[in-house]
Amino acid sequence: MRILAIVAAVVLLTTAASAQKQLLSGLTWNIGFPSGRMGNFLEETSLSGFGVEFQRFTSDNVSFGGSFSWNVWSELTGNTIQFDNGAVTGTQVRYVNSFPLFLNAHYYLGHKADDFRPFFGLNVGTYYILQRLEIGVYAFDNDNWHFGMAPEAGLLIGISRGTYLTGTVRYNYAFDSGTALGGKDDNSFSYWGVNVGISWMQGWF
Amino acid sequence: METIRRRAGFRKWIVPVVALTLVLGVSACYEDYNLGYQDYDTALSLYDKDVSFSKFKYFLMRDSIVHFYDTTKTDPLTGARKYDKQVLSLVASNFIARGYERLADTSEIGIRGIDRDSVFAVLIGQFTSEFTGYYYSYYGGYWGGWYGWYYPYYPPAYGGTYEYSTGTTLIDMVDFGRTTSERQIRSVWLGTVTGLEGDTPASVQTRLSSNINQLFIQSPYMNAGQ
Repeated sequence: MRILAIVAAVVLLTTAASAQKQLLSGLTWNIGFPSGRMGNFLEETSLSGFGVEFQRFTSDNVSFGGSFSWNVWSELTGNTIQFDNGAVTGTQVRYVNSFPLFLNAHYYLGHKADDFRPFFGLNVGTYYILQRLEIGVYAFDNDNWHFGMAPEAGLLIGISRGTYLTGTVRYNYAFDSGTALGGKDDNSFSYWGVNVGISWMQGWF
Repeated sequence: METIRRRAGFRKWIVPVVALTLVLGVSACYEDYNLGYQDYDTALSLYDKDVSFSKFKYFLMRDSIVHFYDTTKTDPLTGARKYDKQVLSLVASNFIARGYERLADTSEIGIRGIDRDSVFAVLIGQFTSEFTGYYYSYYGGYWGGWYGWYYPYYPPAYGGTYEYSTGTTLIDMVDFGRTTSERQIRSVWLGTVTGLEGDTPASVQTRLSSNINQLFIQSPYMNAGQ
């Protein structure tokens, strides 16, 4: 059912966008700050990530598109892990890899000729999240597809004709899916993303 | 004309910028934590949540450590006997520090009229495990570990075999009263310390002490009470 909805949305967006020629493509460096339950697993900021985006404008202010991105977090810790009937201590390397695949809609303020264009948007799609805990000589893996969404706000800054620097702040939320690494019920993930990069109007990079 | 010049200038630097962005994004994900032997140690403790550890006041403990191994072969832990005194002493002192009194042997229970249900026995054993396998590392170890999920689909950039052995010390706390009355071992707490073999004796001593102490630190419920 979820797949059907995504396919339908793609068809609708493609049809709506085909009437317009304004294509904005971009590449971003993605920085991730874990929050919520994910922040309990690791606290380090992810400087390792990138994103690929495309948007088609259906008017001066509205665009529809999609994006794919990736972030990896890794952290070395020696914290004791408590569980229901015991505890374990040892040097741990904790990893999370997140691969969001989104369809999105954005609203841009101002006019297309403006050099500064704030925008707001909503991304909806799936996250493929790989979680790994290495402790001692043991490793525990958990990977799941999650339905998720990511509201965002950002700014386009024109640097030459049709070329922009972009910066966005995005709150990523991947809904509960599968079984948590520790066996608990909630397996949702959330993190803040700060993405900076370059975008091109009309044409693929 | 000015616009064309600006666009040409843009094209000159856009490729290096994009390439640099990708290189930074990808290369930054490699994390070499430079782990040593001690980083592969684990101290695991499990306990029976239905047991009140303050009901125990005394403990029995043999002055020897049992080695679990295939007896048709030689004992792989013979070299570890030099740590026996240290392990036995440390385990006993930790239980004593929690308020439990060590009994010389079972005869003391009868002589002093001690309630069996207030006694636990401590059993200490050791065993080794060997691990062998083949590892793949795509792009020289980038991606911070996630390549492990993908190795069936990608040709490895390089790979190799691994082989290592671990040693485990197991400390079992057994309810003496229930075990004798039910004729079945009733463990109420289990502590295991596992680490890589091959380290220097001095380092092994330090690691053993540190991890055995850790078992008790992470078991605050274990106390004889008043």
